[in-house]
Amino acid sequence: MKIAVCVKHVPVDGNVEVDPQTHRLIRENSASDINPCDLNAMELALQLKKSAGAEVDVFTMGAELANSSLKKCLALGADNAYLISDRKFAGSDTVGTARVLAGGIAKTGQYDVIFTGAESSDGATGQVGPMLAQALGMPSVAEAMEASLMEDGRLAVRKKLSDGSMRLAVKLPCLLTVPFGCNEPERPTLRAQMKANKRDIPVLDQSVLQLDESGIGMDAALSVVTSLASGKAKKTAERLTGTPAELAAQLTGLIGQRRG
Amino acid sequence: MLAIYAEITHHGLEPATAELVTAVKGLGTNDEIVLLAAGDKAESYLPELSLQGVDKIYLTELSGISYVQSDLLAKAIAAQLEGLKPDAVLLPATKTAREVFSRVAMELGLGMTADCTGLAAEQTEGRTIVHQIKPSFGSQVLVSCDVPQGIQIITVRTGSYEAAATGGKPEVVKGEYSGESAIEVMDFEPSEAAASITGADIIVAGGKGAIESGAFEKLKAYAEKIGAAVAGSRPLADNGHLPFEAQIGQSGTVVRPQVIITMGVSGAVQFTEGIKGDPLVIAVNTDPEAAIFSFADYAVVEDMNAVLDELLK
Repeated sequence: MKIAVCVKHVPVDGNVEVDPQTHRLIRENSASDINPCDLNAMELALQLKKSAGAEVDVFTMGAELANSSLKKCLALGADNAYLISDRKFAGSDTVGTARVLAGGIAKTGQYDVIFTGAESSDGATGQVGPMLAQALGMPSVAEAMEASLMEDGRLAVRKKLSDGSMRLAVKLPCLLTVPFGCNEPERPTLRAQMKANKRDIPVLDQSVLQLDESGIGMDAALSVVTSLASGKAKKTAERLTGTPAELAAQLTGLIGQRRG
Repeated sequence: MLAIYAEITHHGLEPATAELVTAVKGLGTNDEIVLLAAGDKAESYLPELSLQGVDKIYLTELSGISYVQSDLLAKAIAAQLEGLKPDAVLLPATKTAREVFSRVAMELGLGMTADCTGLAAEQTEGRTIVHQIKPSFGSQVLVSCDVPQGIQIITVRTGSYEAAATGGKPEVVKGEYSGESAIEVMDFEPSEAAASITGADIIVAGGKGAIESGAFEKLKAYAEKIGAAVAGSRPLADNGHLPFEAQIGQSGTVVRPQVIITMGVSGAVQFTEGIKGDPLVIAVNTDPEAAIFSFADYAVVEDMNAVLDELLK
């Protein structure tokens, strides 16, 4: 079995602000790391590797800086890692990103199961995983908390829903997106990390992938950002008023709407 | 034409559908407003789908198909959108709908935005463009975006719109779609009270105030009632009211819930640093000056005992 895991290198939570003059992002503390739930995806991939026997390859699309996320995955037990990187890929929207990832994955091998995090901590669209599945022509299960190989060759998947979970049987190849907190990712040992840091990571750029440039990068992005503004900065909560009974009813209403 | 995806789950019609109708009506364009509904026994949802303000309902019968069979559902919806070519399709920001439409966006090569909290429309050259505002980086940044070409796929975070009433008389256009899904549904298991706070979608967190006012047992009962995980600030863990793992904060556990309700938490940065993502935060505290109110979305300045008594009814 061959498993691919796609990870994203993201700014660490809470470090992003908008310059009120230029409307650009300021990354004062430019600390960045692997997207939190991608570690849960990695953990699920490693569990499947252990139970079903598999090779695990990790992919990321981004600048060279993103190699540190790949090296963390190598230290955790991934077999190979690939950096998908080219100026021509920069500025892609979610569809473009999924096309580039699909190109990198298709170039590297035929994978039976692909894992991604359920959403990134920065954009948080949750779109790239299912888009990647569609681009590769395979089924997807978003919010998969558990996965194991069944005797009939399908994958038994437990999908998280807002009010419980569903057990599904999915034909391979398939893609699973994995939510934050569904398992407890291991931490790499210092020794494994030092070994991983010495690995050379192959770069898959446009000269290797030869993607149709009309569908990728900034110019092809169909979802266009027109402006940025500071959000939460100096926030004041909206005060709910009424009798305790009325307050309780409003609270229940708000929770119900958000739980989806 | 502006379309709304009426998601049909195993609980029935997604309640946000009626809110989306209000949101689309509020755009004030002269576009036809249509609902797209697809699912097993789709016709049985017609009374709920007949929302006032909707001109037409496109009803696709997917016999025996569940909303989690995203591969097949996406094909059915893509086929429908190709036929109708609406200017935009709006969907609730549920995880299941966003999965299906991510696949649709890739299949048809369409632009898609996520979790919009503000919408405004502009009618140009026979086409309606919906300007969208989306919080990003955990709501620290508000991004304005457009999809200038093709059908605009817009996921909308509902909760702030009033639900449109039923009793409308929309025209109904029936269709069906069949095909194979690579996904088979085995069974559904309702969630027990979340065992760990790390992966919990909904959390009730107590602070020192919950102990001082003697409301902590009620807080726990409320959490159990709504299937939430119980967590707390450091004093609760230090005093043995909660296991250490259930302490939220810099020196405790980092959580990424959908919703967190704090009760009697003052809201020191050591606590709020442990809450990531962009959850709905509702804070209950008797002190109107409590720091938690500059972190929370909603403030309830009231004795938690009184509120909890009502919540437990």
